[in-house]
Amino acid sequence: MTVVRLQNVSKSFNNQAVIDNLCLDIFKGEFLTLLGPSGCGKTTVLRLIAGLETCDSGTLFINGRDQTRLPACERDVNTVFQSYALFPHMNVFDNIAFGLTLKKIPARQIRDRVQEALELVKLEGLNNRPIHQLSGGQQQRVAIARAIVNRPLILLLDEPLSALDYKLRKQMRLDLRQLHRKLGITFVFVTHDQEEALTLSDRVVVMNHGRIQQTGTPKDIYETPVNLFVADFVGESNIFDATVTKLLGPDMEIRIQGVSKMVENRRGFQEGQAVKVLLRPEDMTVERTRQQCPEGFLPAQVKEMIYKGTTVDLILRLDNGQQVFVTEFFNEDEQDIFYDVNERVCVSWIKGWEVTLADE
Amino acid sequence: MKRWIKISWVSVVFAFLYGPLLVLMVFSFNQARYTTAWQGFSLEWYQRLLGNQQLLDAFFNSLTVAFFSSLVATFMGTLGAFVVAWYRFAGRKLFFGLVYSVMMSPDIVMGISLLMLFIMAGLTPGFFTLLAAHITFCLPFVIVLVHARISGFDPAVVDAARDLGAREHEVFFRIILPMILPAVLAGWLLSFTLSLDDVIISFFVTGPGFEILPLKIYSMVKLGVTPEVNALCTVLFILTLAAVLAAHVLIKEKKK
Amino acid sequence: MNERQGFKFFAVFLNMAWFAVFVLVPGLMVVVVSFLARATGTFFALPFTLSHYRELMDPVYARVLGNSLIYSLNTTLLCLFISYPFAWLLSRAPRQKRPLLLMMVIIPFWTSSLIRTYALVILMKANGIINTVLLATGIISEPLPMLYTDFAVYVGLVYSLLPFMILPLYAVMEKMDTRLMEAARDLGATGFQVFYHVVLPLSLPGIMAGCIMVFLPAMGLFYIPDLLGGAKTMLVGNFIKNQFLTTVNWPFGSAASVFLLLLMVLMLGIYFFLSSRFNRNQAS
Repeated sequence: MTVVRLQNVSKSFNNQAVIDNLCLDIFKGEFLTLLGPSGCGKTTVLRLIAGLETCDSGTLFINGRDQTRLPACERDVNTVFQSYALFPHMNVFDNIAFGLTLKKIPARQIRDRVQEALELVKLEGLNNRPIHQLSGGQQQRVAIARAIVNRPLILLLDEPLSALDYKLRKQMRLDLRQLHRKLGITFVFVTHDQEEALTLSDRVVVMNHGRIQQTGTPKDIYETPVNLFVADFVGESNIFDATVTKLLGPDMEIRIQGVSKMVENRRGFQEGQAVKVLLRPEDMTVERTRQQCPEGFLPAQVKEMIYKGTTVDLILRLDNGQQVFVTEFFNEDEQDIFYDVNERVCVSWIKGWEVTLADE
Repeated sequence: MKRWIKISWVSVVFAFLYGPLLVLMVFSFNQARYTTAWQGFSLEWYQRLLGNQQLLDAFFNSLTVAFFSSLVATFMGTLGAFVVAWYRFAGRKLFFGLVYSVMMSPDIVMGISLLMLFIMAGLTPGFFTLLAAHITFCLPFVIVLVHARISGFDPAVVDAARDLGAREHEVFFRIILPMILPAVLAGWLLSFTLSLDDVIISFFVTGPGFEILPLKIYSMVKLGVTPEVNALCTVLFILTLAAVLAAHVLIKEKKK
Repeated sequence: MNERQGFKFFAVFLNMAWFAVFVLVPGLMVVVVSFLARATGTFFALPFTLSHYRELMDPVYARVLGNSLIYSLNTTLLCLFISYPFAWLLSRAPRQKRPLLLMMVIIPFWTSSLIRTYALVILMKANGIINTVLLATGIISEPLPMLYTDFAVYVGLVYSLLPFMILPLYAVMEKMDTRLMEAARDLGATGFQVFYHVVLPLSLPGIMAGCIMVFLPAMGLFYIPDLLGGAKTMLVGNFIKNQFLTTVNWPFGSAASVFLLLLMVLMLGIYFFLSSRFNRNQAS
């Protein structure tokens, strides 16, 4: 069931289009993340849903009703801001209670609901604390409590974890997931951190230059990116130029730097077509060379070897100068995972693990 | 040795700054009328002051002008500072340019320019022209003070308030105003002081029908002083002192 | 949204309109009138003329302006020399004492300049405090003529304007990074060299600001020569006052006012130029 629908929404600032003819459906109860680099428009989409901005054209439906022109104060949507935006002249209780006091809810109910919210974010007992005495992590929880206490239809979160240190961020991610499950409401989360997006979301919307590049589950986004941008933005990618030389049923043969290799033809490529082959570092296989590389393998030289505990990262240099990133999982039985710099190796991958895209 | 010089220099300057004022205050209690010899403690001049209707009228007039001009200037200036700080709008630099140029302008130029304005507009110099002039020179101070305080806060609180259901006026009165209140009050107090003590601009824009205190003192000092003036000055000084101290306390709060 | 636009518009419009009516329009009037001719019966009349500006350069008036400039300059220098060490000492005072000391400077700043000038009259008149004390202790045999002299005017001007020099200097000095001075010492600079090469350049914005805040008003404080000075002492302020209220030669008075405004623009220009140079150096 769709709880938010953006239909052909556009928005410009200073004659610059920030969002371009965007269409998006958000489903009830899901954890949706808007992912993209700075300036891609993800925060603007959030603010449009919140009602803090109005789109120049297009329609916004919340729960089936056209709320395009409805001001923020009347929407059943609440936001957790990147800077928290806690009211400095109020203590924790008053901050959280603010939305409720505006609705003229009786004092006893307010007290109960604020208490409930505090427990949900694990901040019981801090009712009377003034804001400036809280740590960053605590302030962030107050910001969350202040939003959820109103039991909104949708909770919007604008890069809420970006100001926290790494460890705290990881903890908060888990807490947010738990919170989402407990509350059961729709979360719309904005971030530029793709690891965060993959960890937290039911669905991810990848954006760039005001347009949606791909919408899908974390698995979809990671394993089957639909274009170069998504492939490159989410996770690491090795991108190879190749040409299709032969079609063979569901597969095809491609020529990649003078080496022929069989890959799957999932997108109906034609003979002679120029394509880009994408491979994640963990999908590459490396073999020590005797002299010639076996069929389907590309000759390369080891430039860097980085031991990372669970993995060994390799930076290889192909004969044409291109760098290839490889991640091999360290298995203690396998001694020969340690390579020397400048050692000559052969690199390839298992057919089907690649993603082939048309050369745009 | 060096410390000695340091302390002396500072003390001498403070003595210079406060000496005359203290002398003034002391002599307001001096029994003697003409000589400067001390002839005993007396509150006579204060009593005379209370009986001097002219002076009291002038004092009351000054207070009235100060009260209303500071009120209007604070109201206008607070709104202006708030909008300039947090809302996008064209002509920001122009606005600040105007504000600072008023603060820097020599009083005398302001005085005569306003005189010209009022006369050309056919207005009789009196209470309202005085009021307008005072509001004009108090306004920049309020704007600068309030703007400085607002700039220290996160503008996202406005969005947060709206997001949580506040209408525009609720945003201002429940969120903004409490946040900036110390600066607003300080601006009000300082405007009050500025207005009360102004001489040069008031000189040009007030009329014979409406006497204000600084000008009354001015003419009294020129023509011949009765010791009531000492008492009067002392009272004015104490008033100013109280206002400034209060404003100072309010501004300090922001440093927390 | 409409509510928000309306609110924003109202707040800005209110202030801008007020400034337009009570600052811009009068300012323009001054400039325009300075180019008009003097008239009997009315305050000014066409045709447009530069005669008043030429009159300003007439030796009689030029001398008044020149003298006023000298008074202002001397006052500024006096204030600077007194305030600089004072502000420095204040900024190096123990942290807890600083707010109190600052308060003590601010109070006279806000007190009516007229009252403070009157206090000087009490001190300096022939049968005033100073003379009484000096006579009583036998240091002098006749009262010193202090009032109605140039000396009194200087005392009055410095007394009124001293806090205006102290505060900007203090503001700059307080923020000064002591580590820069330590670095200079570490590199072998003597006390004087530290001052000359580090402190002085860094305090330049404060000096400029203080000078502007003293120099310009010093030209306009007409009641000081009026109360403390002799018949001959005249500042630009007195001059302008006369033109407007006594001689009723508005155009001439306006020309003199324009002169003051130009001075202000010039000083602000120098200030901004210097401080942008300064900031560029700081940034690099």
